[in-house]
Amino acid sequence: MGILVVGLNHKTAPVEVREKLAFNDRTLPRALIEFRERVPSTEAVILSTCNRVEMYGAASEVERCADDIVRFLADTHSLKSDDFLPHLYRYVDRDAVRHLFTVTCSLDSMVVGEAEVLGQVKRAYMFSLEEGMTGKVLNALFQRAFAVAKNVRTSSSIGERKVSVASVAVEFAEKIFSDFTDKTVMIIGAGEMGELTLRHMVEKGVNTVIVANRTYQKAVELAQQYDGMAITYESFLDNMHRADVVITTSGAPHYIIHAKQLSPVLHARRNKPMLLIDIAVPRDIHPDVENVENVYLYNIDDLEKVVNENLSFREKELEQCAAIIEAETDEFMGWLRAADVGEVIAQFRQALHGIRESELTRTLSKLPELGEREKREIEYLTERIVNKILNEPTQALKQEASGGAEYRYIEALKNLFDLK
Amino acid sequence: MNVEILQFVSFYAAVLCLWTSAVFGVGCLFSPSRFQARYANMAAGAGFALLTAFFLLRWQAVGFLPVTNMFESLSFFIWAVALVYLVVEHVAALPTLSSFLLPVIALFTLVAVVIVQGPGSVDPKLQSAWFYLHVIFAFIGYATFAVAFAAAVMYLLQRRQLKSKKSFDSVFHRLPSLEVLDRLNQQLINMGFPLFTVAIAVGIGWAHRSEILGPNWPNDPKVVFTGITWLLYAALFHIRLLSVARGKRVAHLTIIAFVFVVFTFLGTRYLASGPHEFLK
Repeated sequence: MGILVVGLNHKTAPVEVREKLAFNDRTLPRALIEFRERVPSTEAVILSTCNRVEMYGAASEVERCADDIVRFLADTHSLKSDDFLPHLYRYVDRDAVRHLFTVTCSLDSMVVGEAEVLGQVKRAYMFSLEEGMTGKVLNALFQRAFAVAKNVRTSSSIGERKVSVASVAVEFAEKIFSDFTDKTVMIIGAGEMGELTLRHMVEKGVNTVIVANRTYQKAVELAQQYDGMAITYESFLDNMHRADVVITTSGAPHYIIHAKQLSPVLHARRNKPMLLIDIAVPRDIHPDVENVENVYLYNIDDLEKVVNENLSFREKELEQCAAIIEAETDEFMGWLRAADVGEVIAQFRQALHGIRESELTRTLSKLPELGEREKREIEYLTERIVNKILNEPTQALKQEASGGAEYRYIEALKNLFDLK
Repeated sequence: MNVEILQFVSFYAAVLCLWTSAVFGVGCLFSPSRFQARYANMAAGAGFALLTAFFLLRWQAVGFLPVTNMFESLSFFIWAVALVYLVVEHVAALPTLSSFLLPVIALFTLVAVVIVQGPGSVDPKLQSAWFYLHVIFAFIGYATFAVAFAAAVMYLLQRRQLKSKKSFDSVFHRLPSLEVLDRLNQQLINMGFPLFTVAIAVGIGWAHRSEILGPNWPNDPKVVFTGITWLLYAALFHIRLLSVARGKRVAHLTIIAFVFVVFTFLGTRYLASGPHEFLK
């Protein structure tokens, strides 16, 4: 049994190609059923995310299966295979296993280390499992892949660092405040990035949201979304002492917060620390604010710098993760070979014992005068002979399974004894 | 076994445990999978128990709370810090506190090992309820200041990390938030300052009523430096009470005040002699 993957991803294909081949939750189960009708007795899993479309298969003839998959992808999307063939990669056996592990561990992702892909692979596998499209090989492969992903996550720091502006801002907030449930966030303006940061904060359990906007109506709308309170733009400074976190994204052409304005604010707060996140370009908060005690100021450049540092940190971790994946791939291939060999051995035994049994029945029917004891002795004799014959090749095959050259033996056995 | 040998065995075993706890404490900051914080606490707990045994044995031998010389006094301080640490760790569950406080304890044990000695003689005049109140309150107070000191150091490190605007590596990731550290500092000072104040009040009353320090007791260097230390903690306590300042300034003052505690405790003996300095 061979394993293969045929697919394309964000590195090999532009989005125009990827979107043409994509499946969604609705089309995917139907596609699986159709694939089974075309290529019966092939295990298959379709992984379709915004960054990749891949089909994993397990079949006795992988090359033919790969061609089947290409044709299937073309037909189900009404495309010519030439349209996407140049973007396609196909990996077989060891390379396919390594590829799935790499994908599941999020080392092949657009943002290396983001955990989302693991859930997507799990979903893809569940779809196939429900349709009965997985068998011994793909079940083992995907279960293994989930375990490897867990292993990589715990034994490396690949997922440790935050890689989006909003999550980095929240991380700084978490190192200033221990608990968000008694905290207030004020947002000035309504930029997209600012709102995203606000949402991250709210997800951490922030108690109160205050929204200020030059257009009061916009403030009201945003405040409603977060069960917050809208204030007029002019009054943001008067309300600032209530805010533990201030997110500015105003789009004003000049600074709207200066250091000297903050002294009364901090006094009113009895010097409780404040986190100011300036996501606006041009900046909203004068850099002098940095020097005010108990105020922590981060602008968009600061946050992006951390994002980049964290991304390059993840890249560095790649090597360690790749080593883990390599070892796991070895182990899985070992298991697969042993499973293959085991199956062949079982068939081989069955074939020889089949011959023995039919010959035994024929002979015994010609010798009705034999007593029970004699019959049993003859039966034991044939059994022992067959087992002795089987012994050497079985041992040799098992040995080969760990060496990697077992395929020649398997092929030879299948041809010589007409096994399936 | 000889009681004196038993005393030293329990003392050195305690030192060994406290050093082990310091190694695990520092280790868990850098590699928590290899050095688990709970082992640091278990070792610290064992060290505390052994030190308690040491004091009970010696108490039984001299019939008196054994703080008769510098060695015993320092050991008692270590015992008190370990006690406060274990309580704080139990209540607040801050694994990284062990990384900063346990090495400080280990350093003090090093000094104690250098000056290790048998029980000193006891001036019968010292044997009074005043003594127990004065010593126990002072030492528990000092111990809370030691833990506050560790929290202040942690606060300043975390603050510097935040101000540097750099990515959080795993070490800083494990440090608690400023809010937690600032609150811990406040709670410890709020607890330690009244204890320390009681100890001083008892001391003054005692010096007034008896002749232990002589009539010139206000000029005793330990009394003078204790006065300065008390003023520093009084300032801290009131800064907190009135929310005049928070964070960095409070952390700096906590560290300075603790330097005075250590000097008052270890250094003043070089300035004069008397029962306060264990030199007669």
